[in-house]
Amino acid sequence: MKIKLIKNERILIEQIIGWQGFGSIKEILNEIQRKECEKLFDRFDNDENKNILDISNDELEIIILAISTTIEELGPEEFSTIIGGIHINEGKELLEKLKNLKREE
Amino acid sequence: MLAIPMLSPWALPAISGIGTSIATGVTALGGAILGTISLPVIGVGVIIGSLIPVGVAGDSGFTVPYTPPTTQSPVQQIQPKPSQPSQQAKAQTNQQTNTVASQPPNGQNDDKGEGVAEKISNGHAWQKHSKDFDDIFTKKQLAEYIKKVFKNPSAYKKLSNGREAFWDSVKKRIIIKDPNHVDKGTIFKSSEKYFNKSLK
Repeated sequence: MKIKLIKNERILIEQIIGWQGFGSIKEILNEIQRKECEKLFDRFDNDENKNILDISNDELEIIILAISTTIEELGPEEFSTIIGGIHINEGKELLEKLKNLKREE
Repeated sequence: MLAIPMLSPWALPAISGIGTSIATGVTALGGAILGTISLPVIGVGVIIGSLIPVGVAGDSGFTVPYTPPTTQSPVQQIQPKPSQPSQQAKAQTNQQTNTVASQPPNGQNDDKGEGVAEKISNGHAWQKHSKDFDDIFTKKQLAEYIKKVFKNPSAYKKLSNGREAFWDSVKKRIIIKDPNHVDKGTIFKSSEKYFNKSLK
């Protein structure tokens, strides 16, 4: 599926999967999920069109998991400091948007 | 024996007068001839000289030097204009500001008077990341460690929204300075790959 991204959504997704993939030493996600995040980071980092996210249903599920666990782990104290200087509420809004897309699928 | 003709005392002035008269006559005749030739030449020369431009006259052997006409005084000509930085130089300066560097700019991150290290060590990081500091036992020690990394990080880079990141390759820790956060930043264990690749 192709997801149109607005505002800071691209930065949020890249920063969160990067953090989950190889930033956090805590094993919040399992090894397979972390490897998947790392691969997604490399792919998204090289995307020419930064306004579109082209992913499969399984990849969407991984991204939703990564965002929800990052919000929980970092909390409002650290989220913006580590994740691109972006407020945690924007992360929560993105999470809701992706969850709705998953339901529609 | 040398024979000297004997002349009367009145005869000498007479001979002398004849010689002088002859000499004077020759001189007068020569002067008259030369005068009639040389004066018109000089006269023509003066007339021609007055008609020829001064510069050309100088080149032709006249002694008046040629000075080119000018609208500026010599002082104005030698005064250099104040130099302005070019657009390219400005762009390079701006680029340098955003460049990822292994070391922070001199004096910028020595934490003198800012208290950033103390704020980070007194903030959420002390409780939340206590497991990341197995060699640090007090908040004061943590503040000293943060100051040390600020001064001499293994790697340094500027992040978005005014944040700065410092990497300690020995302890595998990242310190992020965040002027927008109440704790002024955080510190946690991570990987060099994350610092170099993902942290932006």
